[in-house]
Amino acid sequence: MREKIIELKGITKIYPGVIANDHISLDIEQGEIHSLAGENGAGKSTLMGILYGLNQPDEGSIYLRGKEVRFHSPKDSIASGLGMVHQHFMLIPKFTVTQNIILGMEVGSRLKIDYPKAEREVRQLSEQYGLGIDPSAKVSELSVTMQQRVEILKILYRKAEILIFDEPTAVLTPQEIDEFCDILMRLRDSGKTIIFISHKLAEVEKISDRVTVIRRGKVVCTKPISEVNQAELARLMVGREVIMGGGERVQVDNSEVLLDLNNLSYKTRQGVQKLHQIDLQLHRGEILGIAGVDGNGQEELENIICGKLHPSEGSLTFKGEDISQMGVKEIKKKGVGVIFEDRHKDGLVLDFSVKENLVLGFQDQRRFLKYGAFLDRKKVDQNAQKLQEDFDIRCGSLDDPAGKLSGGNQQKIIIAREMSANPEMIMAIQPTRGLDMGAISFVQEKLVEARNAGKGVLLFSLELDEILQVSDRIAVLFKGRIVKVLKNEGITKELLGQYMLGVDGEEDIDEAVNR
Amino acid sequence: MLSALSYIVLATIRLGTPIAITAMGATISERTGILNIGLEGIMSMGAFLAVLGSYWTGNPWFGVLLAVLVGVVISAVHGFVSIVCGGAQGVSSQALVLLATGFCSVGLQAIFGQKGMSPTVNTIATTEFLRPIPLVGNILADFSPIVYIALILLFVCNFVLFKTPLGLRMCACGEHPRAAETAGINVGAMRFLGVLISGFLGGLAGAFLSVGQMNLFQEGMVAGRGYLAMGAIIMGRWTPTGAFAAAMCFGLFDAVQLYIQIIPNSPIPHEFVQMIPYVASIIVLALTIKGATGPAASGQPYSKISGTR
Amino acid sequence: MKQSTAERPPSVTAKERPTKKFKKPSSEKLRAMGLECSISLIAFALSIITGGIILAILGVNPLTAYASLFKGALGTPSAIAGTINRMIPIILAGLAIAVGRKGSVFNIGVEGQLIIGALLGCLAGIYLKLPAIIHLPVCLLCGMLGGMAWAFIPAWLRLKKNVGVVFTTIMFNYIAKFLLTYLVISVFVTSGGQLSATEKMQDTARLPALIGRPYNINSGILIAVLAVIVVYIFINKTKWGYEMRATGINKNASGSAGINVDRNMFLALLISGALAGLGGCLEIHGSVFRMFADYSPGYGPTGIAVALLAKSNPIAVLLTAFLFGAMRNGAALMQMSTGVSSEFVSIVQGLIIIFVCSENFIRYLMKKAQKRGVAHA
Repeated sequence: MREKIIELKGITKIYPGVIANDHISLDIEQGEIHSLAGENGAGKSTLMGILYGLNQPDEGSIYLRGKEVRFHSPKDSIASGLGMVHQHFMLIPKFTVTQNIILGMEVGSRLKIDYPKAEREVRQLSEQYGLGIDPSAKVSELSVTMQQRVEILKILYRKAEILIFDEPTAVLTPQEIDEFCDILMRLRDSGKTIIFISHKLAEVEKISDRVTVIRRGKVVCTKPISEVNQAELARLMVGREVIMGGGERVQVDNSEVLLDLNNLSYKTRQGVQKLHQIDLQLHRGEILGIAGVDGNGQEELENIICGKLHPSEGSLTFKGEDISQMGVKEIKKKGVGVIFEDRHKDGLVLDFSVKENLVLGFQDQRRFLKYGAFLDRKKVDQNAQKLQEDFDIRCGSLDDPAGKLSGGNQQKIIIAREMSANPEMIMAIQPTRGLDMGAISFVQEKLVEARNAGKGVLLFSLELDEILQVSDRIAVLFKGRIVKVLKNEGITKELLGQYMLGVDGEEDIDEAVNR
Repeated sequence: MLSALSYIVLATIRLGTPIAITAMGATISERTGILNIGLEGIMSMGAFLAVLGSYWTGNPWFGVLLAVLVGVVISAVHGFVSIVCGGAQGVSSQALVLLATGFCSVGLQAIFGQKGMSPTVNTIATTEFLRPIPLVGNILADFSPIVYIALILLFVCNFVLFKTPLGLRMCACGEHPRAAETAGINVGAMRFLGVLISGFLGGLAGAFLSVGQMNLFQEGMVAGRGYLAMGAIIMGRWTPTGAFAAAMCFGLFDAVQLYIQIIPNSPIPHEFVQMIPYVASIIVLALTIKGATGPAASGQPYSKISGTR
Repeated sequence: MKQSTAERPPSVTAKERPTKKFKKPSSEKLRAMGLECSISLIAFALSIITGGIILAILGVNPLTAYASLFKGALGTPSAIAGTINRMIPIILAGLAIAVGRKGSVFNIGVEGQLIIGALLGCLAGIYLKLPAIIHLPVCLLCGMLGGMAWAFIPAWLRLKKNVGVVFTTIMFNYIAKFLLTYLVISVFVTSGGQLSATEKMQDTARLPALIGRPYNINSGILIAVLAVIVVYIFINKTKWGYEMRATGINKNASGSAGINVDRNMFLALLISGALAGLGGCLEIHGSVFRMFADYSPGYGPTGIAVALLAKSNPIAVLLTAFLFGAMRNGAALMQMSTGVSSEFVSIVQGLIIIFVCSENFIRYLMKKAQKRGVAHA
């Protein structure tokens, strides 16, 4: 048996009203890839935050190579040989790669940074692990994959022996994930210990030596990967069977085109072409999934459809009416409901009560007003009660600020609100991000329900699983172009992944589809 | 004509220097992520304390020392509120202005028994050791040493911000504090340092106004220069050099204003002439602001405890 | 922020129940309000104590100073009357700041808007010849328009050029002061002995006294209270107020919901300016009756402290304005009897802002004290 390099004993972390970590004990062996699996909100990130010194545990202790340690800040843990690649990259866009990497560990004298030397060191390190990074590039100009490699370099530069990866594959395509896994194996073979946090079981199974499953803040089990399979892991993670895909689909008439994008292009004010001649039709009674690696024009496309931006060229019509120059409010009035990606930023006013949030965006509609200017409290209350029942929003009181609710219930508020206006089309942007399985299946059910009722649903998601589970058709966005529109029949993740990377190879792929 | 030009140039340097010193300090503070619109107050406290120090000891340099100290102390209050407590930075720094106006006014009466202005004190209005230099010696010597200190500070600020490890770390805190923290940097300490530097320089600028340029303290003598420094930061795109140049531009407006005032029989009412610096700075800022983006996390509270807020 | 979105730990109260139909007694809400109040109170008390320490350092006995301050503010009926008159413009200044903050605009330009409003209202009072019934309303309207106009350019610059409101409004304060001096001295100067003031306004333009001599409480207080009620209703009950509040808390979400964020910020600043202008007017038409060239009452900065201490709640502004009216009114007597400059009030105001801003720290201390209390019990 190998040496235990890290032992966590009885780690407990309590947030107001929530036990994030409940006496978690676990040990990591020298030179292994140890996966930490669990669904969103299970407490994985909190645990790793504690190990890395970002948070302090309320109880419990950490042993490093048999000695008890306390990390008051990342500074301590870095000094002890830990390094962490965060889910949201901790990179400063305005800095160069070198500046980002040496930050806090600058080379040269205390008075002057020796940039040439630093760049040499970074380049050398990059070559050593085959990462292919240009040390003088600005981080804001790098792709997501490259940024992730900068993060890896950052911790290698700090001579980390124990590397923690927090959901590193969430933003990558299947092909990129393969490359990433290779990098991880290479790191392990060079003697590093790796902790891999993920809720994606395929990768967990592929690269781990051992896996620990966490559910609701508690350790369910720790096992060598050879003793479990994906299905079993899924059951352990969620604690019960969950069927994804949103339930039954009925045959609906989907001949009518609702939203029609024709030859649509968008250029930023700085002259950067973000969208190129997009042709896309959304029909009634279908879910059209938009797949693509983050940053390939999704944001611009979303913003144009919801009215925050206007296309520079081409046409955008909804039910035959030109909406390309309309603002958010007008488009909303036409019958487009939007479920925004970031609940806290775009979806909710967290300090407003649940009730108030349930009329956000509809506050000037006659159904909530009296005398044309005053919000009618009775009608607002009735609306809230009805939606609470229909959508099973769980909260202490409808007067509670929305910020007090769990992520799943916050998302329910948004969906309830957008559906309450009975829109004809719904644009859902990453609607299940950060939710646990129960909430995810709820959201997916509601989307399918809308589809079955003859509405059009446009689904933007970075999760290929979700796209494949829910969509009727799939469009792939790559560098601002729609590279392919496919029927969701017999498509594999790998195939989609190829399109997402802009790989053409028309024939092979068509063959694959026909098979 | 030449004399008009030279008058304006010299006055520009004199009037631009206090704004420049303050603006450089505030640039550093904003680079670490802390907004300090209370510099107006710090400057007037500095001006007042400088006179007080000179009055007590007869040595204006002691006044300068007192001024920078008080600048550091008050900005520490702002630092405490905005860094430790996560309070609203804009509002908190406005409190410094109130505190300072109140303190100077109360202090004037309590210490000098006078209203509105202090008695005259010893000053450091000239730099005598430069006088022997041929040709330009007399001109150079007529500036306060603080003007030269400001020039040195320009180089120091630039060097610290862009060449040293410290500068890199400070900038990181203003761009992405969480990233800085995960790199093992103490964000609070860096931000505190930034605020204290701005206080130090604000105090120095205040001292320049009272003992470097005049020989007394007068209520309202800062006259918005602390606020102009805020505009200078934006115009200068958050670099010390830029801020320095923008401050000199504001100094120029002030110099023009003074020059028009001394023209005999000027047709423009002098109240309108006095408005020039304020109106001009708004116009210039409106014209140059396009595309100016400050440090990404400037003005946003960040605390480790509620780090995700 | 991001982190918390991504990974929200599960709730301990594992099964959150859907609420029952009937309304819960909002004892929790009351408790929250109590906490807010006590934080404001503690902030106030800390400011008074710290102010006292500063006085002691300056060699003044804080107790005697505060005693004369209190006596001057509330000690006699006429002192109370003076306090009430004093609080009129302060209420409006506080409201102006509060409305701005609701719409996420920090209007430091209240001082300038108040000056211009007062000037315009005063000029209307002097030069317009109108019957009594409409003269005063027209003057007040002029004042509001004046304040609004003075806020317009900063608002416009923010909208079109994205120039920070803080910077422009401060510059406009200075410009307002010079403009006032020029207009009063060179254009509208009185023909009588006093050089740096306008004529007195006509009787038809003056606010009638609510309570006559010897107390002379002017009826401006009624208008101020009315303004508080109107602002309260506007902010909390109307759709426009809803949009403004939403904008103030979360611009992104408001924009995504189709609320025009820029327009709301623009409006918030204009309304704020109008309130400030009205405040200046009420003071001039209520008790001064003419403009002085150096009219610069400092109500703007006071308004900041008032609004902060009131947590931008219009009703609470009424209370905190009373507090500050009392302080400013009492400061005159304090200056006379102890020699401490009446500007001491500014120090206290600054301290209040600082302590209110550090409420997190006060909360923290209170929690600690509570814990200790529990431990002792």
